[in-house]
Amino acid sequence: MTTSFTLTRPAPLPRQVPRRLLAKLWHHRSGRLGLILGLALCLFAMVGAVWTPADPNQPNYINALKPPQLAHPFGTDATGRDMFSRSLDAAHRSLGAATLVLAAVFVIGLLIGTTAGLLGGVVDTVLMRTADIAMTLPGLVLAFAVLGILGPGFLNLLLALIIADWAWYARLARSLSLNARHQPHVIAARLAGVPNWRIICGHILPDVALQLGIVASLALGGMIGAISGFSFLGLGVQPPHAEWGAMLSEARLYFTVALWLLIAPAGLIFLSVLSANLIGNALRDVAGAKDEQS
Amino acid sequence: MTSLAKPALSCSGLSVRYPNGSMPVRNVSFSVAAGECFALLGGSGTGKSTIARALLGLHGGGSRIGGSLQLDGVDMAQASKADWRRIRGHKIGFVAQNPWVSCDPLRPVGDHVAEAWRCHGLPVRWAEIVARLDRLGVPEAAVRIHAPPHTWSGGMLQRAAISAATALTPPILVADEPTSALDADRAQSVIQALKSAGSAILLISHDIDLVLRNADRIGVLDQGELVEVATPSDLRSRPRHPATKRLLAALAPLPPRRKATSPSPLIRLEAAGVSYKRGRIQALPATNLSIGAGEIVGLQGPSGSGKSTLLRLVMGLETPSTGTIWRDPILQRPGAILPVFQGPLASLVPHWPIWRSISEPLTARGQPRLSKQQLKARAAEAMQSVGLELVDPHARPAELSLGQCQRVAIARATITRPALIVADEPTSALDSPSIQHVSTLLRQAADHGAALLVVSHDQGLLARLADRTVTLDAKNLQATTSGHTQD
Amino acid sequence: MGHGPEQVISSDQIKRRGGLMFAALIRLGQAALTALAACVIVFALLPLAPGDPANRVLLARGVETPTPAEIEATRVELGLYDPMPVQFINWLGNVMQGDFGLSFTSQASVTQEILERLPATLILLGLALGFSIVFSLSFALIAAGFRDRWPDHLIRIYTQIGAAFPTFVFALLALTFLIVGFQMGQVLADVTWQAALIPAFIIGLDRAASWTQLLRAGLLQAMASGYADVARTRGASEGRILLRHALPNAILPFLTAIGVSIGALIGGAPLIEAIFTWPGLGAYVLEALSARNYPVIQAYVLIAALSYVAAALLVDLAAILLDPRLRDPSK
Repeated sequence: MTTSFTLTRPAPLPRQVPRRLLAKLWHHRSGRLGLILGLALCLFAMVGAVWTPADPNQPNYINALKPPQLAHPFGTDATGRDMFSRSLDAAHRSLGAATLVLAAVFVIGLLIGTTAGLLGGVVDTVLMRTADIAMTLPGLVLAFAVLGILGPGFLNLLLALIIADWAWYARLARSLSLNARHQPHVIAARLAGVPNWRIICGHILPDVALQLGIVASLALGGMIGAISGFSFLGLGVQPPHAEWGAMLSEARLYFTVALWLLIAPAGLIFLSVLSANLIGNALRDVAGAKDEQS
Repeated sequence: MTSLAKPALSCSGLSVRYPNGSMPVRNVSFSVAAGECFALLGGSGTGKSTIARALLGLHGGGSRIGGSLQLDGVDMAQASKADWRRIRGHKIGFVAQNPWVSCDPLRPVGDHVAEAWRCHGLPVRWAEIVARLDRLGVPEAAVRIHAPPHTWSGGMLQRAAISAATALTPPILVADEPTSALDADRAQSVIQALKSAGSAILLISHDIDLVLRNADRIGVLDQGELVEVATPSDLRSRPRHPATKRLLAALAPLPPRRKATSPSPLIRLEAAGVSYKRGRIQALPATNLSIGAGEIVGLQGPSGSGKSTLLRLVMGLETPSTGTIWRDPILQRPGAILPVFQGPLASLVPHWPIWRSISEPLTARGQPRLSKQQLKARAAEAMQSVGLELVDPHARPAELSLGQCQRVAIARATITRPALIVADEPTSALDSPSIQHVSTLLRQAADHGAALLVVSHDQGLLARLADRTVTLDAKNLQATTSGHTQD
Repeated sequence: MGHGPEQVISSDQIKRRGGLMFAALIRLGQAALTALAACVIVFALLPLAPGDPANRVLLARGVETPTPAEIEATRVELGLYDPMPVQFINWLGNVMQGDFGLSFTSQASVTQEILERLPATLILLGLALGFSIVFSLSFALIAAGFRDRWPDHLIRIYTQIGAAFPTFVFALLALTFLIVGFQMGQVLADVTWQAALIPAFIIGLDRAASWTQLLRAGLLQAMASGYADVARTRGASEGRILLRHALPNAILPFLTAIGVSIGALIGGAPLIEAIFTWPGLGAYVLEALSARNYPVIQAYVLIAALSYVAAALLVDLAAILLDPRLRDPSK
């Protein structure tokens, strides 16, 4: 009664392709490099958050401007503080802040954007007009403006960056969720009678979150740069606390005599941004491509 | 024709070896005589596009060509890049699949044609361009060549592409699926234009129907080898190779219909039409359509005639701006109408294992609650019914072929035994064997009692599959019905 | 079977150039709306700032401990009792005439002070922008032309490294290298085109990295596209395809990226000028930020926003000119 198939070849599985996102990243050439680098930096930051070999903020003028040596692998600064301890201590501020800001704008953007996209109507209009207004200023300029009102400070900086960036993510999340709503697999689920909340949680949110996450991960490098930049200007982390950008600023006066003061923070910023870029690009490669052509 | 006549193209023992050692084309020998239309027929992955690229010297860095290849009597197997550049356009022309993709979107179409002369440093003869376009059936060519490609219709643009490819009157023209991006009724006229351009034609296609109708001789490709060369009538009546028989199976009638059709209508559209922006944009003119329980209705019409909108109306995703839709109460329950879409990959959640996609309709409102194990078991059953029992139910869609993905989509669309299945171009992304699978499966679903509404531009498919076919005509704003009699 | 008549586009539809003007006008209207929204935000900065505006103004005028009467008089003078929309209109009117009020710190006209510093910033940023466009265009064309050969590899290493350096870190290191390595400590004395060359070169080199990446990817995508392939089959050379087809098609996203980063460039001005000790607008704003000198901050934010809007407008107009699909009213 059933038709026999002349061509029921088993699937010619090309090669066992990894199915989990992290595994896919690991199998991506530069993605793996980025992951290793990123993991090492995370470890560095976590250690620095709880322990440093010497007090990072305690001046010791006898020890001032010592070049790198066994006791001080990164040398010491003009007030004799151990640069290694300071770099270690700074890591969780520099990296943590960037991650925190992006996580915040990701969550805010996801919530506001999908709410607007899925509810539509007045809610959509109000939310998106607000976002439009926030987007009339370039991000950095808006951050400056907010800092101008709130005054310098680490928390104010984080707040300023969140205010500067959320609208872009909300806009993107909205258009992604509108797109997702018209995906064939979503229509199929709707027709089948799958309850709305399950469609949203199972189909739409994961899709939007993945695309938005790729964008956020590509922005991580820029965010690390922005936070150290503002701290360099003295608008972010306040002395005596260490932050890589702020350390660069402190080192400026002495770079002709103590180049190591520059190398350590600049190198750490470079490696962090590099790792973020590598991971972001790899993520886009392995998960972003949604084209379908035989 | 005599064997003394110099063939426009001949290759013997042609092979292509990729840098990784694999050989997508092995030992292919054929020749195309002047004025002849020779077709290379094969499904996806049989190496037909690789042959086309090799014939044009575009096989890409790293891959090597073996055997001999003669264009108009000149041996090109060992030709340098510069040699190839001089030859292309002069000795061999090329027409690509999708005319919009093959035109630079920023430049007017006239530029696209004129490039044929310009890139050989020849003066552009605009009067001749216009005259040739006129001859190929492009009205108002003198004005139209100043318009950008996106304002042209596919059939017209493909004519312009043919005109550009034959500008320097090459003895041979390679046409790679030249009509698969066009509506069916336009395809034949484009093939006519192709033949009237004056060169011998190497037609590369997966569409056996098209090839049988138009080629003088047909070469069948299977896994990189040319397994059979014959005239259309011989091929149809006496196929020798199994691959040929498989391809011909796509033309074979489906098993006779088990007429379970009851006269009671399931859904009835009465003068239902859809327009947007207060009537300024008409998406679907007022249309009458009735689908009976268990009936298979085909739907065709040129692009822009409102096929997709009609489907959305039937699926209940859209409400008519005019007219009414009557539905049988059975269609009110969730899951009574299930869809099969054109793009098999996009219709499955990319990161879900396929068993989860298949069994998703079982988790809908009104369905009994099943455990994960039960869902998997049901999915496995459904996979068996569509011939996928050997595929890992945990595979992700990207690991499957497009044909397999479409079978997964059909398994999902039939798992709750819906009253109506709506299929939007279910075969347009697939090659011949997969088309045969999918149409058989759809027929099976109908034999089990589901009504079926199939949109397709493939008239052959509709003729074999559907009980009757409805044509949407953009001009008359009328739906006309033509019945088929099944034998 | 009958062949339906193919959809015919009428000749007058082709002749109609109205699409271009129409699309441009719509874009212009959008830009005007955006500019207005920016003005609203900038105006809102003042009421949002903590503290009583009257107090701040009096403090700026040197009145350390104002009497209630003085505060009251200043409030009336500043129009603080007017409804918000009226205050906004008044403020907007002043701004339109180029009046941003008096600086809290120097009591001088903010407009005057900005005009003194603006040329320095324009010279530096303009040169830097020019450098980065030239660098990225040539690097990307070379990389795409020599795909997977050594020039491409070199350029890709450069883009990876450049993209991993925040501009200010790269500038700091490059400057250090120049000063320590070549004793060029005094090159940055005054505001001239010559003095701006080295900082602009450094900024341009860093900025160009990500643009090169973008343009190279766009070029390669276009070189692999259907129309490039078809051009090859007509006998076109790779160079001809690269310049005639790939470049115009890849330049649109590139232009958009440039438009967006003009905002980033202005936003980054304080940082860049701090590193090169460049006496421009950025340095001025930085001072104002720590002194809570609101009129100056307002003026800076408004200038930045308006130039951002203008840049985006120019880019979009260029895109409309380049791409016929964008001026098709039906799409």
